[in-house]
Amino acid sequence: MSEEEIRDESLEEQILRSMLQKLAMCDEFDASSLDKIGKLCEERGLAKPDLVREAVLVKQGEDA
Amino acid sequence: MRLLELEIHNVRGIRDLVIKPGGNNLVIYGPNGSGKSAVVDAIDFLLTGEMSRLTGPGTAGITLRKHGPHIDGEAKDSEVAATIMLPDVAEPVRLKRCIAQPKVVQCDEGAEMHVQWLESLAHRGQHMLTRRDILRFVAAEAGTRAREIQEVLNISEVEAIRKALVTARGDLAKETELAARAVEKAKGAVIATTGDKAFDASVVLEHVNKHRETLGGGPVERATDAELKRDLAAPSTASAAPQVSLKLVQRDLQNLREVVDEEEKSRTAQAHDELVSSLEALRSSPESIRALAVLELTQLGMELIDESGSCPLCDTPWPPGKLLEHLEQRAEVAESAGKDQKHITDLAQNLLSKVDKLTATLTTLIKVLEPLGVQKELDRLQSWSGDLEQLSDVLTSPVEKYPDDRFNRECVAAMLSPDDLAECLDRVGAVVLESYPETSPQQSAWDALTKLGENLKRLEGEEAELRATARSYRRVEKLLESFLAARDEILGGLYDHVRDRFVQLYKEIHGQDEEGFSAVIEPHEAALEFDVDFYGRGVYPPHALHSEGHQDSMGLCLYLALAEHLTKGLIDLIVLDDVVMSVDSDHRRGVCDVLARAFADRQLLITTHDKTWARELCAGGVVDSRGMIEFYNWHVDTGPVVGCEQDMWHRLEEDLDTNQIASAAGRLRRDSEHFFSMACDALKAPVRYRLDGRLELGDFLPAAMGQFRRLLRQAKQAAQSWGDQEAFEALIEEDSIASQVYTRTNAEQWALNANVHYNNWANFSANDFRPVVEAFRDLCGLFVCSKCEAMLGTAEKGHTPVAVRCSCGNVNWNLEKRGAA
Repeated sequence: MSEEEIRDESLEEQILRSMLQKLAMCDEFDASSLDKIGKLCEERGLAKPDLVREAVLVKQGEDA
Repeated sequence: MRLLELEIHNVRGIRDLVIKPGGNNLVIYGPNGSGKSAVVDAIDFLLTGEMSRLTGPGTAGITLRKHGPHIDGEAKDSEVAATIMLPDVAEPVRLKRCIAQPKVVQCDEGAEMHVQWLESLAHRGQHMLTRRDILRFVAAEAGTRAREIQEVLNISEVEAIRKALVTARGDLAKETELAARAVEKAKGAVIATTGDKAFDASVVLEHVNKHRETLGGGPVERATDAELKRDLAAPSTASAAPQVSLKLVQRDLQNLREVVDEEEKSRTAQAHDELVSSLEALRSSPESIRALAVLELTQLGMELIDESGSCPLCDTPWPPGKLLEHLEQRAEVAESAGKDQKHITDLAQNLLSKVDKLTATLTTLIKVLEPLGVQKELDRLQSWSGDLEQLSDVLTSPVEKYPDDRFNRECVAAMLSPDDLAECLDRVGAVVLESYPETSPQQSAWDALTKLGENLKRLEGEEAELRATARSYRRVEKLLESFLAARDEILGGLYDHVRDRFVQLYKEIHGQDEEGFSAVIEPHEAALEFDVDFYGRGVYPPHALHSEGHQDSMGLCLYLALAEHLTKGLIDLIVLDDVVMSVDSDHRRGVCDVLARAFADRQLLITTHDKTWARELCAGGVVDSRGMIEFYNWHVDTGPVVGCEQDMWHRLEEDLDTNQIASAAGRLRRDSEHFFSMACDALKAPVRYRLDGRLELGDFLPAAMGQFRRLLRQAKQAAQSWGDQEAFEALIEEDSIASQVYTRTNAEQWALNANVHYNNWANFSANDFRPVVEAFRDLCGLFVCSKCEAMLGTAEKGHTPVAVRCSCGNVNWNLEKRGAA
């Protein structure tokens, strides 16, 4: 991401981008769950508890 | 966005008004009640569809539709229109909004998207600072301040995300707890089948391998549903129809008999007594009960503290982070009560395992007995099973629910070890023996594996559910943790930058008075701490010790520091509505410097009731004379009369043309007096002191002129010392012009007898007086920059003038000689 693009990001977007970078380093999150959370960030759904819950939910068998 | 032209019809105190700032700065001045703020309201309305003055606390019953139009106007005839320049749009854009349809802004075709952005930014209040806003920034509680600033910075969504993540974490914590309970119940069912007292996976495996051995199979390494019957064939005697295994029924009966076994009865009673006495001990101490309640409330409270930092229960405001700190201390105090609670929960869990095992056994046995016609025994066992289900529920939350009216000590003891059970079980055992044939050891082993398989499958399912839920919980915890870390990192960086800029601007305004000024602007949890240095004596809230004037300049500096960070830069217009009214005269020059230099790329619209201040803004280079608009003689029918500062000389010309010499003489004296008083201030000219403070043109003009020539002389000497011939010659030329102009005004006479001089003027004819006016015009011209029209002022090191400058840099006389320290 170029400096100019970073400047154009809102503070909220900067925070979410930094959060996703931190999550990418956590073992708890695989590519698919990171993708789900990334989509929530894009669609401004992270402020909705139900959607957050859905994004982090591990279904039986998924955690093998 | 820059404002080129503004048209207001029937809005607030204005009937019809057109002003044309042309994209430049504008100062509107006039007495209170002259309609200045109506212009601010009109701009606010045009950009947002609202008037912030008519909203918020204390505005109940006040509506835009009713109170936005002029008192004699109607909403449909009340409108604001403007021609603006937008970034990335080549041609000016026309906007119009009517109070009858406040949500609809009309604009030129093709500019809709830009206008939509403009409205969105304006809704955050990024374009306007009023005195009310200053109070919101400076004197507000930390939480409220954080909200206001978050709103301006467009980060209120950030707090909404934090809340959502905390809620999701709470939900998943509850689900994990429920899943863990389900696992315990499933284990109870397994041990009901194996006949063990507690669940142990290795012991279960031993049972499995024993049954497998009976069936001629080898041992397996894991007791899972899939492994139990691996490579085993069903015994040849097995019937195709579902069979009841006599052995398993007898095992179930044995499980039930054990609870009435004296030894077991005694162990159960002991465990139960310990639980009850622990509960009684806890309940006999009101402090402990209170501490537990406090612990629970405290933990909940810590989760619920929102961005305001206020108490989530009663909304009492707290300084930033202080409530959380307080709750953490209370939670620590309540910790020993928490340990007692944990001990009680563990005791209850022991009993609960027993209840789970009994319930699982009874469920199986009842199914077997249903077709056998032993109704009395069946009823007894069903009633017992029902009681145990209820007991299980209360034991899950022992501190809150156990024992209650239904489950007093005796009743529970009887429930866990019923006295009347032996006879009932003997009867059931006999009926079962009569009803079902004896099974072979192989069949019994097969049936036991079948039953274990069912129970282990359930346990595996519940454990998988628990793992999934626990992992979801860990994920949401990580999500919240990463979000908070990212938030603190980004906002911390922003607030550091804002703090540094705020301090820099404030120091520029207050100069030597506040050389050691510093500030703390720190996000703390959801609040924003804002403290400022008080003359090296420590940091305090800005409204604790500083004067109103200082608070005004702090509010202005904080807003300006924030304004530099506002996103997109679509609105370059900053409206300052009477925000510096308390700034004292010593610091107004500093405010002018900051506005003129640091915000030269923004369009400022400033209103003030103070004419002197307005002229200082002009002299300070914030606005040129074309941008000075005076509102006066406001009348309810007509609104304000509007005059332009640039008309001063025009008005004098008009007076001369109409032969109103007395009026022209009065105007020239009054305006010149004000002009030279400001020149004295800007050039730090020594003025004769008078105890009554009644200084006049005769005091100011010679003092200003004397200082002007002294500084000019000093500048010439400095230019010579540097060998700057070009500058030296320009200064000689300036000096020569100054001498000629000064002589033309006959200004020396003012120092001798101002009244005689003034009276003489009043007796002049138009032709006699015109050269005087022209001479004064030229004289005033010496003191201002021909380019930016700002008044020349001295720049100083300590109290020593080192340069004479205007705002744009066109005039810059160096006063420091070569080799001077």
